[in-house]
Amino acid sequence: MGAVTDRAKCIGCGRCIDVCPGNVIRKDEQGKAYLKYESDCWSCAACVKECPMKAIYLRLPPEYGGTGADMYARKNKNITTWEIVRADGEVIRYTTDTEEANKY
Amino acid sequence: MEKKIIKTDILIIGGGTAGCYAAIYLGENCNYSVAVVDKAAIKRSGCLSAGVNALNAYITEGHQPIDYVEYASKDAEGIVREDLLLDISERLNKVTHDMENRGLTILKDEKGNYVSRGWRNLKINGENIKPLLAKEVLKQKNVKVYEHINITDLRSDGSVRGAYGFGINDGVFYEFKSKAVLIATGGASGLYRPNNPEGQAHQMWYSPFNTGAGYCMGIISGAEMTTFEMRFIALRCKDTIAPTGTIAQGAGAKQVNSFGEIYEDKYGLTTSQRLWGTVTENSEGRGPCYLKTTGIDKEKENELLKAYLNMAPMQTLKWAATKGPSEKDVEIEGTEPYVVGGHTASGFWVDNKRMTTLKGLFAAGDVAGGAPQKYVTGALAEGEIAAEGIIEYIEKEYDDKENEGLLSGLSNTCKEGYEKGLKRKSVLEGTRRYRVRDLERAMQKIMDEYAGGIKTDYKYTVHGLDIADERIGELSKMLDYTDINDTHDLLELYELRERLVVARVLIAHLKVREETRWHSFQENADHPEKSPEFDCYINSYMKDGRITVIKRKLVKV
Ligand SMILES: Cc1cc2nc3c(=O)[nH]c(=O)nc-3n(C[C@H](O)[C@H](O)[C@H](O)COP(=O)(O)OP(=O)(O)OC[C@H]3O[C@@H](n4cnc5c(N)ncnc54)[C@H](O)[C@@H]3O)c2cc1C
Ligand code: SF4
Ligand code: SF4
Repeated sequence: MGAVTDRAKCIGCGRCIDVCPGNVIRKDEQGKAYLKYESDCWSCAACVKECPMKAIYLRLPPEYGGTGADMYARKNKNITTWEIVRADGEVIRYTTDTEEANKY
Repeated sequence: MEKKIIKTDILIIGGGTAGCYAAIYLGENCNYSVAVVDKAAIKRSGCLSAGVNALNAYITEGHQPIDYVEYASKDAEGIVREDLLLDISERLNKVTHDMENRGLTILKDEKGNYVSRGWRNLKINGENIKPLLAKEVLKQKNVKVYEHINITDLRSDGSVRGAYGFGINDGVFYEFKSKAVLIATGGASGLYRPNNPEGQAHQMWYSPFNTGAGYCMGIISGAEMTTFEMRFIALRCKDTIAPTGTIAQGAGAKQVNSFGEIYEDKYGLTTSQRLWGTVTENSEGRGPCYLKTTGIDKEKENELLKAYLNMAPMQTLKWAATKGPSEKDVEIEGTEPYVVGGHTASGFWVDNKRMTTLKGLFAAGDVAGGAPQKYVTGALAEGEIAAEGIIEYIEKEYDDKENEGLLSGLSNTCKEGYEKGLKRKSVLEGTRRYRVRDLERAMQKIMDEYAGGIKTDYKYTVHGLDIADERIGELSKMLDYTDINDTHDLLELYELRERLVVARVLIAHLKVREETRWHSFQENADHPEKSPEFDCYINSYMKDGRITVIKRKLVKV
């Protein structure tokens, strides 16, 4: 587990496939992206930030605690907006800006 | 298999941190044609895929490059090439300022001075550091980038003159012909059984896609390697295996055991001692161990969560889905051992220009040995040093008389190797067949149990190493019985070949160091003490499939 695709939202643009550092994602017969080599995923989120449709996201593996959560991202130039959807329905949002350095 | 020949003056294998920076330097400082070839797309390939939070190597005011050499040497118990460390250290600040000019955000105070984390560490926003490097590479007119091509072998007739590989998407056989080659493929992960189970096996610290290709190509072609036995084992956040520096140095959290006792003073403060302390606390029944973060205020917590998004997003997801660091201490654990020259001293044996013992082959970054604690800025600096060395080599030493017979033979062998792999299914139908991933897991299990993995608290015995060596030898023969259906399977096959070759050399190195130089990193249970007899480098080279190990005298400055 790591990146997961939502085939209903995918428009088959191929950006996630190209950017993945591990050649993990492929297209299915309908031209939609999916994690052909699912267990190879490094969870780097490069694909998540690249997707224009929020059709690929990170999923927390069950071993890591909690009751499940997904993370979406949308990158627009220097600003990335992140959206974490918890199992209890709570949505947590963060905005990061590459022009702002980390404080720690 | 279709064949494409690409001619260029300089070939860079691996468009990561060191490779990209070398390409930028060559683009801005010479007119030679340059080809950068990578198994992925350089926008996010290699260690920097998710981003980084700090520049771990920088010389702050009041300090000198030699201080950094001393620090790295002490941390590595003296087994470093001080000459290599010194010329890297002298360039750390220059490459930092250059990256800032190219758009990297570095934290500054009101007066415009960098804000450091300790005396050799800067806080940055490094989420976009790889896209930034890639953009600069693409600006260079004399540089061409070839992506999704996996390089497997060097093109060498005594001088290295290019490399061979195959397109992961197009299935084409590529022959790159060049005057000189820079290898910058990073280190090797996935040699040992990792922390997480099968489905999450790649949730590891080091890039799972850096599989030791550069080491393997060099070893097979007879290059001398150094200090493989100094493995790197990271202390990381449990499960996500995310870096801890941002919490430990950045937020000042101490390592505590399950009784809440700060234990680091008991074991010493070198990188390996910090890890060893944690392993020992666990094995003596005082685990699990944590970074003490509870009680930090909500604002600090929020900043930490954001910082991890720029480097290890899974950690933020875990915090958001469970309890944040203000409510729960962050559990830490040791990773599986890696061979990675940017953190320890393992890799190619190089001269001051970063030429390896193979004429025309240069190395930089995690693949190059002798200089630990290089990190991002050290890899950039070394990429630049190697690029300068390559220009000088082409101008002064390069000899254009190729041994055509030998090289066309090599090219054919390599191509036939791929084709045989791809045709294998039909040839071996019904006979012994194994999935590459099954063999990979077998290798990881053997290394874990007999060559000092997580299972034995990183300790090994010579008897165990002998078993590992025999079993790795057997697995290497099984590569011919793998099930290959497409070029992705072929990629897995070559990655496994690389890991097996690196594992063999690693075992040979571990065996020869009859002492314990670094706790956990190289903990020889038969020889638990440090011995002055081993104040030397352990180097090796392969000839006709046999590994010869030699000792070399330490180089000091
Ligand atoms: C998770 C993580 C966090 C880190 N955080 C920090 C930090 O905060 N600060 C810091 O200073 N340092 C940090 N480091 C260390 C630093 O990132 C590395 O030391 C440095 O980036 C290594 O550079 P490199 O060029 O040697 O390797 P990489 O940048 O990994 O480049 C290797 C390249 O080679 C390519 N490649 C590999 N095999 C082949 C092949 N067979 N054919 C073609 N191409 C191939 C890969 O795709 C990749 O692009 C971190 C490392 C990791 C893994
Ligand atoms: S998270 Fe990273 S490794 Fe996983 S599929 Fe996306 S880009 Fe590839
Ligand atoms: S980037 Fe998004 S829309 Fe494009 S192929 Fe990938 S998942 Fe589909």
